Amino acid sequence: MTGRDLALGVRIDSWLFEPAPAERLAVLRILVGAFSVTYLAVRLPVFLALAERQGQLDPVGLLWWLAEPLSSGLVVAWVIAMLVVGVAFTAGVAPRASGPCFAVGVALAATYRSSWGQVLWLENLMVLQLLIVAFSANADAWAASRRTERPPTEPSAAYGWPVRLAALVTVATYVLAGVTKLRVGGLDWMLGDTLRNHIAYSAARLELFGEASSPLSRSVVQLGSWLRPFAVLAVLIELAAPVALVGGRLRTTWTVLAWTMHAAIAALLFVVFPFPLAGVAFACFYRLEHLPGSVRRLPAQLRSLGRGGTPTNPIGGPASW
Amino acid sequence: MTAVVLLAVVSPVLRDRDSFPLSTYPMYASTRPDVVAFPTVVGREADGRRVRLSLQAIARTDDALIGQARVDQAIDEGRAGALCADVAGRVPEAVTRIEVVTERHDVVHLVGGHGSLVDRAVHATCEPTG
Repeated sequence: MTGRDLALGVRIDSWLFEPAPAERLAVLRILVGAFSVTYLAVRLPVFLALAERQGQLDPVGLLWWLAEPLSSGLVVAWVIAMLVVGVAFTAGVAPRASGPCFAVGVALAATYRSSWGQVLWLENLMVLQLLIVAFSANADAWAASRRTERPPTEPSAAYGWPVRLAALVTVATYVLAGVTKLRVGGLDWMLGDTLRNHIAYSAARLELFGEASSPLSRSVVQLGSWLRPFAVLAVLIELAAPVALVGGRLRTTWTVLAWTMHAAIAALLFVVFPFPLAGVAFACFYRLEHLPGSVRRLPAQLRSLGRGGTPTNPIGGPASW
Repeated sequence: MTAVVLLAVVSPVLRDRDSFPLSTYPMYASTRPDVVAFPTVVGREADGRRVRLSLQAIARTDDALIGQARVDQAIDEGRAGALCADVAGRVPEAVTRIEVVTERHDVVHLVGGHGSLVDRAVHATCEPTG
């Protein structure tokens, strides 16, 4: 091992284990928890419908061992319990129990949903971030369990590392998606008409299932080979995800591009990736301890803008945000 | 610990095996030709006119991916007749016959509003029961 390798190792270590205030991890808990509970509530009919599901069970992941469909009562009780436990986790009530129970419970519910012959990819990142946050010291600030007066905790790697790990995992999922496109589709994915055909395919599938397709898809499909630069851009955005770890403008530029890509997918294909579209997937790239203050200052900033004033840092934190 | 988690996240690519929540993220990864086979279920009115059935009627879902997978599975496993019978109770009144089919379409023509059907195979037919 050379000195240069050692220096790199030290730099990675100091980035990964940089002490952070408890508020950073707590805000991530609230964001990921609130999103997951809302997602479960909005998709409740879909999860409850699993109780009546018939057909061939094809278990995946954590449920690989399952031989028979779960009983209807168990599925309904499980999903309802997850909603209740999720609220407790988000609020920071009994965090050592509510966090792991909620994260594992949501992971199992989502796994069961993907165990019928079609793995879905809309919930992976939400489940992965939830597992990371839930098994960490996420309730040492902004938690109902800390309503009694206690001295503020010191910044610690225990609060920074889970956020950095969530960021690494998020980046890895995007890179994997890009690598898989090149591995499965080859360069033809970028240089051929694959993107156009994917858009047309999604619209056609909806129409053949008697559903409305995106009104935008018809115009966009007519662009033909003009779509190829966007195919290249989509793969580049995924492969370039590690720049989000650098921070600053590079991170924010990548985040905006990735969000825009998801927005375009939603608008053209009617396929919604809710976790990134809500912005929660990218929260781990930021120093979230500044978020509550920024939200509090937002009305004053908007009033200042309305009077022609100059905005300060739009998210209110220091330059290192 | 960090290395273990990251290794787990990338492991599906190393094993070339998609799962949940660890995945290769293969959505939209394949190259897609412009002529594609779609397994679906359609209705016919008394005069033979085709009626597109909704995802709820076909597969009791609002997700096209899940709906398509269910029809595909039923055809592959020789259960097209059973699927037809299941859908039969959820079709609109005007439908007099139900068909489980695989239709091949030119998707670009279809989205452009032009004739797109290349060929069609009927796997099962039945009558409404609702």
